[in-house]
Amino acid sequence: MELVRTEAETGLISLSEEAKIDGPAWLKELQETARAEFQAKGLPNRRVEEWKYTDLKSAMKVAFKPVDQGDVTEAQINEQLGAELAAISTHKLVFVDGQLNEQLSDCSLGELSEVLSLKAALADDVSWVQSIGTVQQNERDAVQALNLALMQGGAAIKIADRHELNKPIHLIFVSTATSESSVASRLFFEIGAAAKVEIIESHISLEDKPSQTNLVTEVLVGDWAKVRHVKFTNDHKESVHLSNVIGKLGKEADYGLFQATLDGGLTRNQVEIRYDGDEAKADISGVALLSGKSHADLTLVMDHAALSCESRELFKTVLDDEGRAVFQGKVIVQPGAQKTDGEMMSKALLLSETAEFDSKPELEIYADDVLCGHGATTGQIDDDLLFYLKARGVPDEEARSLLIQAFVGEALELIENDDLRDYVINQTLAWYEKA
Amino acid sequence: MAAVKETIDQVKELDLDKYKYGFTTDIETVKAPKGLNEDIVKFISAKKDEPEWMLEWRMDAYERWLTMKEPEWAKVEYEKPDFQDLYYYAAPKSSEAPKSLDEVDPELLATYEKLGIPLKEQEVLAGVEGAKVAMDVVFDSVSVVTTFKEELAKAGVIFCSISEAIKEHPELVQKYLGSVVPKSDNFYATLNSAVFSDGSFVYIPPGVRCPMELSTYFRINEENTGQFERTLIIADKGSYVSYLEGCTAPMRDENQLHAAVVELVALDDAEIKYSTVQNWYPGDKDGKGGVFNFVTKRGDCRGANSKISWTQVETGSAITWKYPSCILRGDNSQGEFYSIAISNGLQQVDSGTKMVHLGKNTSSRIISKGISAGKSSNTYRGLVSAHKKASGARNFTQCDSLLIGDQCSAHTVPYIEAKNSTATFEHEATTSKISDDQMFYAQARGLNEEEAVALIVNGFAREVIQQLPMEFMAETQKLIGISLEGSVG
Repeated sequence: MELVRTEAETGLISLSEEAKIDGPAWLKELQETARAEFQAKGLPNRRVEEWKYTDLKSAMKVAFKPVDQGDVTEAQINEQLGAELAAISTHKLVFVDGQLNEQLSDCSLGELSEVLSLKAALADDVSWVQSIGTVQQNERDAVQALNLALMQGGAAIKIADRHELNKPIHLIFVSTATSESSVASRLFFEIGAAAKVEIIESHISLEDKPSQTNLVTEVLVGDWAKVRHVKFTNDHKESVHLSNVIGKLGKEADYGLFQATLDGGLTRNQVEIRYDGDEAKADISGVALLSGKSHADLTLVMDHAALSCESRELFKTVLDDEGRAVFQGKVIVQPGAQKTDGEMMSKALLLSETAEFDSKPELEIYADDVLCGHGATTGQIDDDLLFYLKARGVPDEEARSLLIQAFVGEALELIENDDLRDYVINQTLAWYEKA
Repeated sequence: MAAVKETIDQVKELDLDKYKYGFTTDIETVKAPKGLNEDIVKFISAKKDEPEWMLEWRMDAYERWLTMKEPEWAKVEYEKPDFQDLYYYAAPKSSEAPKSLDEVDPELLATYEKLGIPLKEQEVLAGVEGAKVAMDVVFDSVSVVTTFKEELAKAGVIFCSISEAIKEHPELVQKYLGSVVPKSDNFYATLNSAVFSDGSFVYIPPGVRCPMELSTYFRINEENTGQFERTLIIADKGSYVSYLEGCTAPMRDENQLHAAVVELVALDDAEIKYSTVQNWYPGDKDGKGGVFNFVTKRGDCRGANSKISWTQVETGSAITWKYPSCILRGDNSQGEFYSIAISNGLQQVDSGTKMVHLGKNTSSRIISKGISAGKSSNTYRGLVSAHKKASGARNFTQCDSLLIGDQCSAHTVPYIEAKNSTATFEHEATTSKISDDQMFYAQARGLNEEEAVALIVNGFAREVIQQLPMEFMAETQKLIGISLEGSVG
């Protein structure tokens, strides 16, 4: 049966033609397979169960084209980041329009650790980068396949065994485009045994033009390693941001991912974590504050395939205007993954009549000696709490703002880095004031 | 404790392979030829002496069914039934409708006796003083005996088979049939619309509190007979009815298909309480045989302040695909769903509910207890949604799963959709196993392993058991014990 293709799909397919990387045979085959997968599936729509609440096919009308790496200075970047974030001492890795810019970056992460531009690493067939695209256990969806077919930018980052980074890595994605543009990047992390890494990820734009981002982050977390990753986005209201974090955890690994989404156009943060080693733990949390017509989707799969692992998820969503948020979280306990301890919580606060929140927390359990639970709530600001504050002389607006802060605060507390937490809190405060 | 003691006794008597109710009655039956086509639909309609509008309704459903595909989204795996290899009509051979129990085929009565529901003694059900339960007994497809009609008639309650209602009360049937579950609602409901054989019809007039609990015993008997029951219950303004449905089927090697449709309509201030105990043959220990249960049950709280409450105990069937739902259309209407789903052996259950909030200040409550043992798979799938205009909607959901043994699985798939900021939804789900501490505590007090499990599971499901009418409560506690037999040790 011939598929009816949308303009965006036709555009993406022709872009993938141009995006082939001139590298080893296995890579050509991988890209070709992925391209065929996308051609067969097309953009996901609401008939695809995992995309039921986010109809990308109808939301993405046209495919924007990637642009060549533009000029940007450190001062411009710092200005966009804001003084507070720029002041945090980090190893900056700057991606200008997707490409790793080595002049602006600090790639010296320490002995035996490496930072390579993705395209160069693939073209040179660097041995440790060969596992790219293999971290994922489940079948690739159309967006993940598309990323493999389109990937141009990004980096491969290796942290040596037992290496503890003295300061965080700051991944800065800068767009210099003066009109609509797109970026398809992939990050490949290999975190050595017992290594310790902190990652900050921010996305900024010099000209504030709509963009389409397709970013896949693959993370191999070694035994006893500890990773903390905090991602922050505040995109243009017509942008499409599709992100996938695919992680595999070794024995007693400790992985933390916190994603903060402020407004934006259509944002989908998809996370798939596979527990491969016993006693590993992961904390995947986040906040989403949406106003206007922003749409944010958080889709999560915690796949427990080892003994005595722990998963914790806490998500707070605040919706104003016509904001719409989606939460889909699935905890899988594979046969034999005994003593799994999983807890998932998603809470949403609706501030306007026209906001919408859809959630689908799932449990899929094939082992008996487990403790798994999830909770999901939706509601508005509690009148009793509001009354309590107002009775004590707090004006209505301030009282509401306080209650929202308290609601979101529970999740924000999970950010371990003090400076970074303060930064995210201040960003959310600015959002309340605007809303 | 008495009930638990009884459970233990029953458990002792049984092996996993011995299904208590697995026997076949030899009664001559009138069958339509195998397979499904326009002629069969016409045959069923003619056999039931139906008016023209009913035949048209069936034919329309049949045509739509031809264009539909079997749903595959449920978490169940089975060999799809061959719809051309089934009988769509079977009626016990009886020259004329019997006027009293004496005229009923004695073998039929004996069957019920084995099932523990002796018709002759049903006027007062054991242990419930003064309570009367009228029974519209369904043997395969045709209502054979309907009792207590007179007493119900005094109150103005209509309780009869749906084929009778089509003839006697066409205005009510035409007005309400398909108004809750449209004739082409889903694959199985559409099939049912085309070929439904019989079922129950209840109408409670305005302001009447039905004087007794109404009950139907379903029984699949004839080999290769698809059962397509159709139930329609209407509670008019300010009325109340409690309806009981219990099921058990004989042992078979071939899978039996059951695709029923139940429609409930509650008008202003009316309340319907619908309770089900389902204990159909689940198949033997290799998963052979067993009933396929694909049921569409839906209640419509059409009037303001109306209430519909579903309570179900699901212990049987090889495959269960069942989502009793409530459409909360009327302002201040309430929906409730209480469920115990027990799966053992190779059973697969995919069950849950839908609470669709449309009216203002509507509320719903879902309590689901899934117990998974043996190599079974038990899924809760539910939807709670608030429409844009459903201000003040309120839902509380609690889904608990209990796993017994490391070969079984339990899944929870809730969909929660809030399109209104004043909606308050709370959902909670847990999965756990019986803790060693609990077992030790019970065993230290002299209970053996199976007794201890039965006791703990009864406690786990207590919130739902309490919702059942008295008549079902004791039976359910027994069933829980029997269903979990062979799951420990």
